[in-house]
Amino acid sequence: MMSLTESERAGLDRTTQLAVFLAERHTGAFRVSTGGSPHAVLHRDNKARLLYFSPRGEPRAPGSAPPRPVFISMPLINTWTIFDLLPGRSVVERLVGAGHPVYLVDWGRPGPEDKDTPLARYVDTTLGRMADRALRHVAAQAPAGTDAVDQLDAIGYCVGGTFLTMHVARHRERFRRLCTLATPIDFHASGRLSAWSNAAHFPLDALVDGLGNYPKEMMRESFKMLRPTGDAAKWQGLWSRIEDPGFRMLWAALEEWNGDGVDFPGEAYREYVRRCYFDNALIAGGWTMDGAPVDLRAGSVPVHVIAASADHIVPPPAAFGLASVWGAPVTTQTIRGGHVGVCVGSELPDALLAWLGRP
Amino acid sequence: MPADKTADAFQKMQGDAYKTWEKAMGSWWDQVLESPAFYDTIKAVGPMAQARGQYQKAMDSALRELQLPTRDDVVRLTKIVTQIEDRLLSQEDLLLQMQDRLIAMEKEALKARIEAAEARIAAAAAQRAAGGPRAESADVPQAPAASTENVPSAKPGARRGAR
Repeated sequence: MMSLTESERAGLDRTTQLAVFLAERHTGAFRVSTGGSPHAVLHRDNKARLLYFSPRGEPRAPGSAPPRPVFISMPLINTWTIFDLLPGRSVVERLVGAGHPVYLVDWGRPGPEDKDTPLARYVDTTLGRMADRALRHVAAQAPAGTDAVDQLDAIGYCVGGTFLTMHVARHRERFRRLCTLATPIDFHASGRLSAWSNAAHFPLDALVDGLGNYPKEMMRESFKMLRPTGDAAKWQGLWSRIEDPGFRMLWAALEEWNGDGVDFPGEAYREYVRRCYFDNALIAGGWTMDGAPVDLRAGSVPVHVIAASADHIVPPPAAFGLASVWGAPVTTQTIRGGHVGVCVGSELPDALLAWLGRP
Repeated sequence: MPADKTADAFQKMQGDAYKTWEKAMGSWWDQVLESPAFYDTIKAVGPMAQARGQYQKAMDSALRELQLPTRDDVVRLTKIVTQIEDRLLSQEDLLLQMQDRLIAMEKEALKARIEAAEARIAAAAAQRAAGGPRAESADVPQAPAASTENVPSAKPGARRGAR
């Protein structure tokens, strides 16, 4: 009988474990539950919801200022759970653990009936309403005899950050400062994605007219094409770390999140792609939405821009482009990770808490 | 060579082989994805999407001929519900704004009353110090009557309760 070398045996063991793991996932024996931090739904606006995560953490020293409330705008094209993927891998968990009340906008799942909803409805109305309800909740929670906070510290991730940046430039009254994470602003610096989403090649009108909402499957495939060997790297990574139960759990959670996309409402998508990708209007200017200009030069609150070093969807120059147009001070920071991976590492919560800790 | 060293070397070789493969594949893909043929493929998605839209319309009109509800009908109904919900939310926004205004008015009225009371106390104290009669006369400032009439409730806790 042929004897195996140690390395061959280890490889075989891994392959067996991989097969068992995949079988367990397929049959439902291995399940992951994401978005598990306790929360309440404070407000609903069509499909969008305002989620509230109440603060935890050590009691404060008497007389010290309470941690400020944080308002988070998630991307419209994914579920919000990437910010609360698993215990120990959750931005929200770290923020509430540090005592911050967290108000998070989950855009929900737009349906075919939302095809004609204009971009302004999301950027101006929904975000404005959510911030208003968050501030009312903050006021109601304030101890008697104290002045409630009347402005929010806001964080936006990816497209959610683009919407929030546009909102804050147009309606600053509810926000004290802004932090954008992997948020595209200079769309012509988005590498391959901007080359593809060019008016000369991309049949935008045909797609929206023919399909209505832009399907999540198409979006997922185009993101995959940005890094065609990404799938191979994913499987190779799983095979090489299959013995680690924590890694298996994280891998499965990310897979689940990645497969759970959301359609982009048609007319909002048309305006977003035309203005942002075709015209690069957030940098070039000249965009009028719902009768008012979208002018980032009018931004008057300080902004902190965080980019992920290995982000192939929003490369750092696309995020840092905000500094060239924003009308108030902008600071920048690069942290390690890719567009999604950055949300489940420990560097991001550290960076956000450091930003929130600034006066 | 000890077994663990062989295993390490084998693992390193595997890693190197994967990296070489990824690099080669990556550069091949780069050529494909930046080629004019690929951009033509992107363009070709447009007619496919339009064909899908036409198919949907044809399906809807066939169902309509059969007097059956179509996808369009269901979407239209859902849209109406969404619009009604949106109107209700706009009303809620207006009510909240009115509430804010009332609270602001209530605050102003309370402030005015407190200022008037303080002025009366100060005037009375000044008169007493000067040895004059008690402050009951018309030259002492009174609280503005209108400010309290406009306010439904001037209780200090009303604001929090209202929310």
